[in-house]
Amino acid sequence: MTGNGRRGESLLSVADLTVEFATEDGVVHAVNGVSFDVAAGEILAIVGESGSGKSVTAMSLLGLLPQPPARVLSGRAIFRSRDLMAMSGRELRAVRGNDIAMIFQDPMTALNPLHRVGRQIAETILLHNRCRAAVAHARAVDLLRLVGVSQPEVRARQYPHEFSGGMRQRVMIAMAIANDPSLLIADEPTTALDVTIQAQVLSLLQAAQRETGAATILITHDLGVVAEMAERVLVMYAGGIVEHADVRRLFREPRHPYTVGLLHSIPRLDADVQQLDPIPGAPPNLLAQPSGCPFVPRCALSRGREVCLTERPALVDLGDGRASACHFHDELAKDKGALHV
Amino acid sequence: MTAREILPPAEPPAERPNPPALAEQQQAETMLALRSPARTALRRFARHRIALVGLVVLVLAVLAAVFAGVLSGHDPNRINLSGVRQPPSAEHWLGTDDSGRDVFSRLLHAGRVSLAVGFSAAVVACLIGTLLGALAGVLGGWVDSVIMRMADIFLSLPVLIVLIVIAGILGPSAVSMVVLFGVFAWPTSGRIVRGITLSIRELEFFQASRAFGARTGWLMRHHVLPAVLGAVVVVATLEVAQAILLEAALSFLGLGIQPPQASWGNMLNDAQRLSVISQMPWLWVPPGVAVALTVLSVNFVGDGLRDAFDPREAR
Repeated sequence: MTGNGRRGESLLSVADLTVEFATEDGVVHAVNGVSFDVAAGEILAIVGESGSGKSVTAMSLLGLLPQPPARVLSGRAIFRSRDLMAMSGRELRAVRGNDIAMIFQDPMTALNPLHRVGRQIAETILLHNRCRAAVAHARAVDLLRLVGVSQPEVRARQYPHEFSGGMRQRVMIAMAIANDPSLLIADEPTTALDVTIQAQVLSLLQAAQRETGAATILITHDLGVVAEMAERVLVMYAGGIVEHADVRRLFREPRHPYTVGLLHSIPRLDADVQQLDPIPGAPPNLLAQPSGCPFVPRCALSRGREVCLTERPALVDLGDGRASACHFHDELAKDKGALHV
Repeated sequence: MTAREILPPAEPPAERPNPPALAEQQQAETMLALRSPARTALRRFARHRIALVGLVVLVLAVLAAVFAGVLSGHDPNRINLSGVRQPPSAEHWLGTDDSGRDVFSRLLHAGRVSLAVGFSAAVVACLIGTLLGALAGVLGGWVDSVIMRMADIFLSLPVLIVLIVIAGILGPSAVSMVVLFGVFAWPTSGRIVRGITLSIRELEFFQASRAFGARTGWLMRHHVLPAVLGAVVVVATLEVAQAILLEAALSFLGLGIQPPQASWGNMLNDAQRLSVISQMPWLWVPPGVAVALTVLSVNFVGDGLRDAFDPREAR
């Protein structure tokens, strides 16, 4: 399809995004100065454990965080030469669902149980296009067919409770691509699904992405999904980006101890492992962050070195499109082989 | 796809301990699939005997009021001074009043006024309540605070006394009664709608709609309205009852519907004297019974609707 820019051109450029939440216990620093680019047509994965700021980053791009308690302290998000962060409510609504569409985590709750499925898809079309309801409905049926729902004419007249989880996620994908967006944000699109259905939905997501040529931000904590889908990966920890690389390099040669830990904790088919190797400790409390590196209490690389405790490492460009926020990233380079603890 | 389609049959059906029960269950499941929420509600309502009786009485009352001219055969306002205070007869089914007017005809025509005022007042109250409640719930923040404090203020005023004062200033009329009831009774539905809206606002499909670019008005129409409709209908029936009672009270006090137009309230007002109460029951029993019966029926219908719409009642 057309209108989504040439592949490789920068589509979205996020700079220095900082989001915090005011809670009863104090201020939670959910996202701390995150910067990244999304090129037209690419699939960018954002990985990290729960509470690392992945979803908050995505939600703040579309202005979907409830404010208060959320506060966007700083940051720009240049999308097609306009700053999403500076847009008025009306301008943002015109972008949502039209230029940037979101696929939600839980398809069981993301559809209104009181409306027929076809109508819900048609409505996302009518929100951004002036056309007759019958035209929108016909397009909804086409979209259902496109996402692999059999008997789309019949299914369009059914209610969400008559759909299984995987089928509903297909409906959500149909709604997301209904207006031919140039950026899809998929927030853990397969987390709520069975493993077998996950694979189907992922390949559908890939097909939809090819069909529309939309760039995709894939938010997940599943490294298997990352390996299968993504071209580039951002690893987030405690509200910041700790590593950024293309997917092959990330898996072959991680340059941040947190990424190393993540990769070690994946169950493997090709090795006889008795016990998984988790990262010790727990993610830091985002209410009161230490001055040094947020990963230091769990880090196997730091070994109590002074600089890790006192200085927060910046995301340093390592060349060939990769970056790491670790003071000692060079110790992780393949030839040194320092970290196999 | 249902679980039954995926799972292979674990054992041959003949070995099942209770095959008829299973068939019954399957039949129940297919029936469940065919049933829309509206149908389920209708079926539950029909099971509620007393509500059904209430509905029948109410429908009869409405029909009687609508066809009052045909049914009574007398002009409700025609004065006949040669035949005052006649007891019920074949000519005048419920007798005549102080001015010789046919009481049966006046009763039916009064029903028109009382029911019209009751229903439209309830509709106005629920429209205002639903709109403001949904706005408060969807927008939140200071809009919510302002609307809800307004609701508190209106709830803390004694409605009847305020209405008497306002009727005294503006002069009594059916229209002002409807509008004023709407203005004073909206907090009941408003609070309920706001509560439901607040819970819907947290649901993911509401967020998803926002993420697809929906405006406030759109969110209210598509997500809030269908969800609150059941509760609002229940509140509306109860408000119909209240409005009818209030109309009767105001008219009884001479501040509602003005004579010679008949309403149940001012018919009772005409029958205030002790001699009438003790010796001419046909002047006050019929309007009194009409008010009581209508209000009771409306309340029963409201009860039935509440049970029918309540999802926790799983039958």
